[in-house]
Amino acid sequence: MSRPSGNSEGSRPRPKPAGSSREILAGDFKMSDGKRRGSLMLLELSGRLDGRAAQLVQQRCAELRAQGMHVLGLDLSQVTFLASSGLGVFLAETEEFKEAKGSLHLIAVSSVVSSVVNLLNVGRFLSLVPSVDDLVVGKGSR
Amino acid sequence: MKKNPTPSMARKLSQEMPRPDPRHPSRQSRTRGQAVTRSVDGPAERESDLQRHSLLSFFELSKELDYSLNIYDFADRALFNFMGHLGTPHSALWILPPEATGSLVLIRSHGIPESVARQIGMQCIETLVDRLLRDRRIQFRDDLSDSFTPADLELLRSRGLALFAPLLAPDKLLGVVALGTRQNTAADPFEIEVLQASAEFFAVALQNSMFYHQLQESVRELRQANENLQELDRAKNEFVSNMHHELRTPVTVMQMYAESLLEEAVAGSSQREHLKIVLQQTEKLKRMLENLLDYSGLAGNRIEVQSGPGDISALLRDYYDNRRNGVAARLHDFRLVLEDDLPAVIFEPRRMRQVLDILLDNAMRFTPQGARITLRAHRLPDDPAMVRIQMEDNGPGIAADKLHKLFVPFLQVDGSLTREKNGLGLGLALANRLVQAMGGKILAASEIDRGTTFTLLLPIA
Repeated sequence: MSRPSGNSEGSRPRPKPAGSSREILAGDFKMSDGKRRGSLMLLELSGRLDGRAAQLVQQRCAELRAQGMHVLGLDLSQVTFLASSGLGVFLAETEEFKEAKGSLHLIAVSSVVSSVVNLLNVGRFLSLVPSVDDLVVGKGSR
Repeated sequence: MKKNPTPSMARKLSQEMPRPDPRHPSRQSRTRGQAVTRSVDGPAERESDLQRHSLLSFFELSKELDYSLNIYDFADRALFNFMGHLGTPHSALWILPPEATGSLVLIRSHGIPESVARQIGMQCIETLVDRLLRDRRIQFRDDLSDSFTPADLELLRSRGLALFAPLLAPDKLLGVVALGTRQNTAADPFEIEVLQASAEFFAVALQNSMFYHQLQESVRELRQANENLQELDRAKNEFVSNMHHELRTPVTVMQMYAESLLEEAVAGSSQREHLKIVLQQTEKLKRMLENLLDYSGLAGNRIEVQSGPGDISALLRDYYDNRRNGVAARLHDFRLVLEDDLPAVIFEPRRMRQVLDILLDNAMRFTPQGARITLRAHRLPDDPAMVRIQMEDNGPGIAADKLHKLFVPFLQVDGSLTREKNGLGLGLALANRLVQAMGGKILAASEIDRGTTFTLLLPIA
């Protein structure tokens, strides 16, 4: 299920390409590479995770998978809004990482994220981890 | 979504959910509210939150679909939205190509490998097309036992796909979206209604986007066709203009001197010079007309080239000896470099000289005085069947993007130079045809400020 990471946005101002930047800004949304912890690569997300931001997350995940990083953590502690598309990307990417013999973890989810996850009862599809430390020492919920 | 249940509460909530009725996920959900009496917020609040989530998903979708997105990004935005709307990790979208006979084309799948999604498209979704077009509603897998074989149903179950939404234009089916449902809690009727509305909205947006991109493509094709026509028109105009100038000038010159001779009926000492000029111009006109006739003849395959084995070294030496003084008179440094013991090659001597004339005249015309022009011939180390003959100059060179135009008849790489350099833009096209007729080929290579090399490859006898 590999997909091209290109993004056509017509005449809109385009965010910096994901592959060449460690920080991506799109409106209120910000995504930046965090520290690597062994085989774990961390992405820190903040702001509004709407449809456009969700596609940027998906592209960055696809890029990192293509680069051989198969254990990815998304720090969601600073996410202030989670659109359906954002949740859809988490669900889709969790499957993508599983297929690539890796794993995707949602770390320190903010209350807005956890409320949507709980409302839709999709926790069992996702790996929700309280903190990076829990993940590193293997205390993840999955 | 007013409150934020803790993970333990959510687990409890999940355990309290009734098992879904696999045959009727929507019907099962109607009982969910009654069953979940001990949830944190209560069933009414939870149902209200789910409905709010559904509506919010619909509103988000309306903001996310930008008609300028390509169909794959468009599909991603919609599928992610639908997945987050229902809470499922499985989705796929197929498009029905405009051609009536075309099969469904998989655009995207998430949570299902592409190969499997293609198989599902061919094996399962194709059989649903008529039904979706007729009913124009979301269909549930477990209500379709009459449409699917047990193997189809098992395939769909194994990949978590439970419902199929038609993407409808007013008079046709554009495509199909397949989605799973979240585990343990099936979508309720309100969610399905909103999903139906989302799919309808998405279909309209998708059709607009497809129209937009088709229009863009048509505009591009029209622009390209227009540019080609302009190029042809320019070539035609230049040809007409060049023909006019090239033919008129020598005729005018001849006429002028003829008139001069007439006026000087009693010939003086200048009469001989005037006659020489008349003869020169007549010869020039004759050669140009010859080339033009030759080209049109070759284009119509009316001229036969009588090729045969011959001594190319002897021909090149002879040619060099005949031309070098004339070239030197025009202040060009003409050199010959021949490899020893070249084998006999297939050519026709008269046509070969004609080709060499074209290449040498071309080199002289487009290099400044003092430039060096070298005629080389040698074997090809990597192709024992061919001999390479090159006319190489160290002139200003030709831009890479213009090289492909060199052998196009009546075109010159720079129209502004054509008249100044007295060319018809026909020579290289003729040379190309002559070399091909002799069983060889001609190539051009150039580098700006370094020079240009024309290479003839001729078969060894």
